[in-house]
Amino acid sequence: MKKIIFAISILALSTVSCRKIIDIEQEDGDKRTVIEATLLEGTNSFDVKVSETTNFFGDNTPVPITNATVVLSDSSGNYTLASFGDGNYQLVGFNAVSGREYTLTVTENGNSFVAKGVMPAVVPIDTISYEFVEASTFSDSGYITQIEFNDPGATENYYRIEVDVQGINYGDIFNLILLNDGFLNGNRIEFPLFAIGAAQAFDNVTMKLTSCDKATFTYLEGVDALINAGNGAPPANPTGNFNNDALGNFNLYASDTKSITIIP
Amino acid sequence: MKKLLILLCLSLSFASNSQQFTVSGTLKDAANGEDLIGATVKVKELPTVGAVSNVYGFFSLTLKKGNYTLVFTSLGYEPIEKKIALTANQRFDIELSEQSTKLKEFEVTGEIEDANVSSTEMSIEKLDPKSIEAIPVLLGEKDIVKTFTLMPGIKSGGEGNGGFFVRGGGVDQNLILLDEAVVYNASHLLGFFSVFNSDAIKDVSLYKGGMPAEYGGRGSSVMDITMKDGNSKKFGASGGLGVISSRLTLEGPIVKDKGSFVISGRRSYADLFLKLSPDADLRDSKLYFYDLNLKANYKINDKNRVYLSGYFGRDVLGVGETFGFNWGNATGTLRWNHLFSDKLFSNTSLILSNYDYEFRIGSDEESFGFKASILDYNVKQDFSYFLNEKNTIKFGLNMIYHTFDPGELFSSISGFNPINLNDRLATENAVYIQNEQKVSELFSIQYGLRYSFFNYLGNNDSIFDYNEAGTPTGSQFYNRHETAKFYGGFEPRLAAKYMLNEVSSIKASYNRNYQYIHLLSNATASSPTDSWVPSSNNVKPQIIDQVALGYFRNFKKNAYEFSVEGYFKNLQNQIDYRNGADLFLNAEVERELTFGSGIAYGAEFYLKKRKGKFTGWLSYTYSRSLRKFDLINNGEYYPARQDLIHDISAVGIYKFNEKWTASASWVYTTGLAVTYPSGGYQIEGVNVPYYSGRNQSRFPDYHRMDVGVTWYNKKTDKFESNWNFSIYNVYGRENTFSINFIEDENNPGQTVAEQTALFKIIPSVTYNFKF
Repeated sequence: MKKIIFAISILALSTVSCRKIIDIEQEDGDKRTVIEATLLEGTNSFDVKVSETTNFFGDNTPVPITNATVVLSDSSGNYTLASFGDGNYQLVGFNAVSGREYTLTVTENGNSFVAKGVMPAVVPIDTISYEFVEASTFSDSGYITQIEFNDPGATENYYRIEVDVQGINYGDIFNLILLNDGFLNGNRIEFPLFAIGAAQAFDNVTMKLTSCDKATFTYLEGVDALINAGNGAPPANPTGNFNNDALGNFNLYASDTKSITIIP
Repeated sequence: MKKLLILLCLSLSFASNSQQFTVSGTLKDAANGEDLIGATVKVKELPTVGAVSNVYGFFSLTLKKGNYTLVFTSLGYEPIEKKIALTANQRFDIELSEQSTKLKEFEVTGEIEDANVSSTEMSIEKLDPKSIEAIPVLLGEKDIVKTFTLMPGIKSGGEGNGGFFVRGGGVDQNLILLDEAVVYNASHLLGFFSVFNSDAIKDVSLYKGGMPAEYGGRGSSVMDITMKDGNSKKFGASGGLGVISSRLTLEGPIVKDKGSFVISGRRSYADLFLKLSPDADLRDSKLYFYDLNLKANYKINDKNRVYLSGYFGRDVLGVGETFGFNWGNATGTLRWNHLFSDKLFSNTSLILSNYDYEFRIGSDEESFGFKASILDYNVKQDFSYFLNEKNTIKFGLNMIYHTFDPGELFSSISGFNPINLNDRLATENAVYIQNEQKVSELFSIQYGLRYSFFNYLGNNDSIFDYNEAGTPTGSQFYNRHETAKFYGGFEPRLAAKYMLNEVSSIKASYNRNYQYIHLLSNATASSPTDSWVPSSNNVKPQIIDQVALGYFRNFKKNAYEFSVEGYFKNLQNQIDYRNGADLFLNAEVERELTFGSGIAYGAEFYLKKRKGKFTGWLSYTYSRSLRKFDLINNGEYYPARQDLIHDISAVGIYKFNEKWTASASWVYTTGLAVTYPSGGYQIEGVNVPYYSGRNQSRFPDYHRMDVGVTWYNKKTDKFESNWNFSIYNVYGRENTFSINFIEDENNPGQTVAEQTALFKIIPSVTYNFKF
């Protein structure tokens, strides 16, 4: 909301304001370990990236940590991921089950980082609908798509939505589409995707509804604030679910995908 | 025995009272009947004795029986002498005329000449609108708040930000009163203008320290603004037409010499310029503000006078039909002055104050909107008891009933449940007593005690307790108006002055302030959507202690004023946010808060030239403002955003002749404290910053120069006009409004910092007139 307010004000002032690139000195700070891990419901390969923070300005080549030990555990046992030697670690063909708790342990250079979470249940997409709109401030003329699904009333649900329209992706880190059921718990949710603009006749539209847990949702909100900060909150690192101050997060995603073609 | 006792008591009382009588009354401007504030009554035969008129123009002076020559005077006015034989209490209602020779010398202040040295007040800045007339400010508007930021210890919130910082305190630590009503948001258009139309204002005082016991509720300052009463002798109109806004004031008598009214309006029209924009969205936009000040007063008789004042203002931003955002204040004050006796002056006020904001997105079929507000009902009773010429006692009480509406979200989108957060209620009260005592010719002291207390009230709902981690630990149901939490405390106030000699003095002060309501600003800039919250079972009141010490000296018969003041402030129960806090429509916003402490200290140097063709001032402040929170910056002290270490202001006004006056000002401050990345990493292939400390870096330094020239083209008894030409930011310094990180055009994949500055050189023209 604040972003919009500031955007409008800046827009109005753009007639007299000016921009230029300035030099900024990076602040001093300890290097931190960064762990990105996403476990998908069902049988998939499980990929983990371990690295160290690097510069923000100038040369920002990532610094991988290649000698870490990465272990995924659940009630059925411990599984060590294979290392590719370049900071990427993988476990092939792992079946992740809804309702089960998973623990990820990353050990490197004497430091140990642990995160755990329960794989959520998949919430299926009921339908994808669409409606024609005339051109407006929000979009060109075309079809505004809408995702429709039934939110389970018994649980707190957190969603991330990604959309692909004719091969163009929406809902990545820059444009996170996040929804929680706080205002809508137990209802049939019909969420119009104004944010992606209007699709055109005969476009292929694929939508993915990903359920995640509260910790991951909080992390994604933090990432959204970080990337789209504008003049907003005091800069803060997104709170992930690893201990010992590791950056990044152990995401547990349960997704459903549906595709349609827009028939005018 | 009984008869003897009675006789003894009678004779004692007779002996102590019989020889003293009181001279009292009002001092007004002869031309328009406005009460003169801070005018003096001196006694020729007793050079060390005098009285000063209060904010309603009332004075009271008790002297021994005798023959005296009273001198009534005020800066810029011809003094009037009256020989009296004081054998009974006497009433004088005096009208002073402006000096005809006043125009030869441009006076910068409106008080008695050596007030800065001789009065017990310290840490105070005063303005009467005449003195800000010649100072160039943004787009030719005479802005009171902007002028105060040119004085030591008072700093603006930064380019494009509303609010101001006083001695290292936050923007919510300033109590802004307009005819005793609290103004919650004193900024228009994101801080470019304040809501105060200087045409409607008579007097402003800003206390940075040494706060008298009659004020309380905010930790760092009080800006007390008195509206004009209106010309009680004849009708008049005045106003101005300018580039960004225009204003009109109408005033006149209700009954000649007994009552008057004043109506003052101002409207901006920046959106007219947007209509010229090539961008279709901007053409369809609304961007304006308006202010309306109204006041009427009526003198029922010599002992009773009533006033009614009101202020209404609004800012409106909008883009076509799809986005609208507006906010504003509304205040109203009803006052009754009553003289119980020649020595006991009373004022009773009933006050209302409301601030609200609202925004709406989308068109009629599919839209959603949000609004929030704060509403106060306030009763104040103040007494001034002019005991004798050595002692003036003030006492009174203040009661406020607050209603905080944290927000209501409404929408026409299907499946969307409307949200209405429950109102939060509280009462904030205080009683105080204070004496200003002239102990000797050289030594005066003002001492007082204020006791303030606060009730956080239930509203037929459950109130939760949170622990340090923000986790709920329990809850309790409270009925509407049932006390859920009580806070109270004593606020001692002390100010002392010692005259080293006729031209210099040292002053010291101490005050403690409790602040029970807080402005949550989840931003590196202040915004009209920042919310006010009450203290509660989870949020303690802020407690601020300040000591100040100063040396004041005048040179060349008060032509030059010099002062140096040092202060130290201790701040307890300061509030900040946890990382990633989200305040938007959050019913549990208290869970997002974390608490800590702070200190602020500084030294303010000030040199002012008050007489002659060339007048002006130079001020330099060195100050620090630091905070310490367990959860922030590893629990170590870090600079507050407003830790503006060096602050320099230079203002010069040159009066060539009756027709031409020029002015220039230059300001410099250290850049705002800000947090920059300590490193970077990738999330899903995107480069993102990593932060470790808080506020360890600075924006680039802020400085700019403004110049202006005023041509007084016409001045007759019936009509006056002038043209003002001014240039804001003459050398076009691009001062930082915000910093964003963007991809380097020359090295894709790498990040650079882009600064947005709002204003380069902005010239403007204003035409002012007065009937």
